[in-house]
Amino acid sequence: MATTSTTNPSDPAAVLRIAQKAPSVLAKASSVSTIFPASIFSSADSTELWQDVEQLLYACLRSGDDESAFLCVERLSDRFGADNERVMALRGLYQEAVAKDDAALRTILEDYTKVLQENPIHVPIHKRRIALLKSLGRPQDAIAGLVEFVDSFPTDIEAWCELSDLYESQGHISQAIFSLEEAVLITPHAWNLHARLGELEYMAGTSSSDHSEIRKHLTQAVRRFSRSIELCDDYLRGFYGLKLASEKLLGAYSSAKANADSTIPPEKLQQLSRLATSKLEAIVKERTGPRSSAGNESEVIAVQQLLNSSKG
Amino acid sequence: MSVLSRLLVLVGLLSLFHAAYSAHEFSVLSTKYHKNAPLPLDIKLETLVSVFLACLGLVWGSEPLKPVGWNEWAGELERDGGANPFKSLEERVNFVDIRAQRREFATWARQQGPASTR
Repeated sequence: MATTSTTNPSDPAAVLRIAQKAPSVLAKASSVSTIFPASIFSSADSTELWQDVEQLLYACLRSGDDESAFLCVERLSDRFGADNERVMALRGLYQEAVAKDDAALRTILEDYTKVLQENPIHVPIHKRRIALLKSLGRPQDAIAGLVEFVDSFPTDIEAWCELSDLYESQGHISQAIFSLEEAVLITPHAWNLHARLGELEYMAGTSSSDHSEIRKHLTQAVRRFSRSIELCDDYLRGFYGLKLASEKLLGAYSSAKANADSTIPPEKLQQLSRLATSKLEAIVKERTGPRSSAGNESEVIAVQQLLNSSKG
Repeated sequence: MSVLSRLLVLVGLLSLFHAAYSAHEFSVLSTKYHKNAPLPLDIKLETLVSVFLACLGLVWGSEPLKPVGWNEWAGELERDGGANPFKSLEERVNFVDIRAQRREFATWARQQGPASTR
């Protein structure tokens, strides 16, 4: 599997918490001995430690702690060698982050291209190059590079997801849906990808003007959201989407004067919408209850707004 | 629950040893007097009851079972904020736009005010 277990939380406070652990993680990493006799007896050289160092690197770069980030890169290249593929990409990431201006970034881009000329199957550098193109405000080039990349590595799920997002950012919803479908083919159990696909179909359905197109996309959206809640019990995102999509589709049915065949009968849609509403109410009640754990409060607030607006 | 279950296991095992010792003594006695007597009912019953008690204690004291169904497991992860193995497909660390994230973090830090950050 191409998935990495390194996580990069979206919440800045969580990033800061990780970044503040820098001294202890770095101390642990520098105590690891890789010279032969000592390396057998030391248990410090674990996968978890190096994952922590990598996560710390991301956190430090985001929070602007460049010295610690530099030390992370140094530790990693001491341990795995400076020509290790992932270490090379991380070093590139560090250079991108501390680059002063666009000229410096273009030099880094040229370096990436040079590395790729020598080794065309260098996956991490490929990905960095595409990310840098995106960062430089050249999404079309990034898409072109990524299309070429998924041609060579068609089982790279992360790349398909990134391509889908890039297409979506450029307004090519149908291409975005196609790319994400490819990713779902490889990981059919990923409930968040099904929900994301449902969201894209919903967007396609709401932005289209043709009646049959609208209905086709919304039907797909209902199906994708249904799959996501089948794969994950009480999935807030899935139920939220299911409620929106099924109600929208019901609206589309009534406006089209029931001439064409409806793939999902309206009674079933009403049932789905009712189910989603009751489940959402239950989830909100549970999450706002006294025993609820903090976090993702914005989700709950959004659900409450949706429920209130559908009541009123 | 755990104290009770441990007590049950202890009582069950002790009683099992007791039954085994009784059976041993009985067999020694019966060979000594050259009588092939069957094992008395009370020793048999003690063995069965003590094994049952020990098993009950072990089952009661075990950890709550982990979900077997995919949807239950996934639901638990989402509810308790566990690590969703597919979350990385939405974060995509290898494609991270680090400069945008730095700007985002800097804005956030300014909003938080200087007191709470450094």
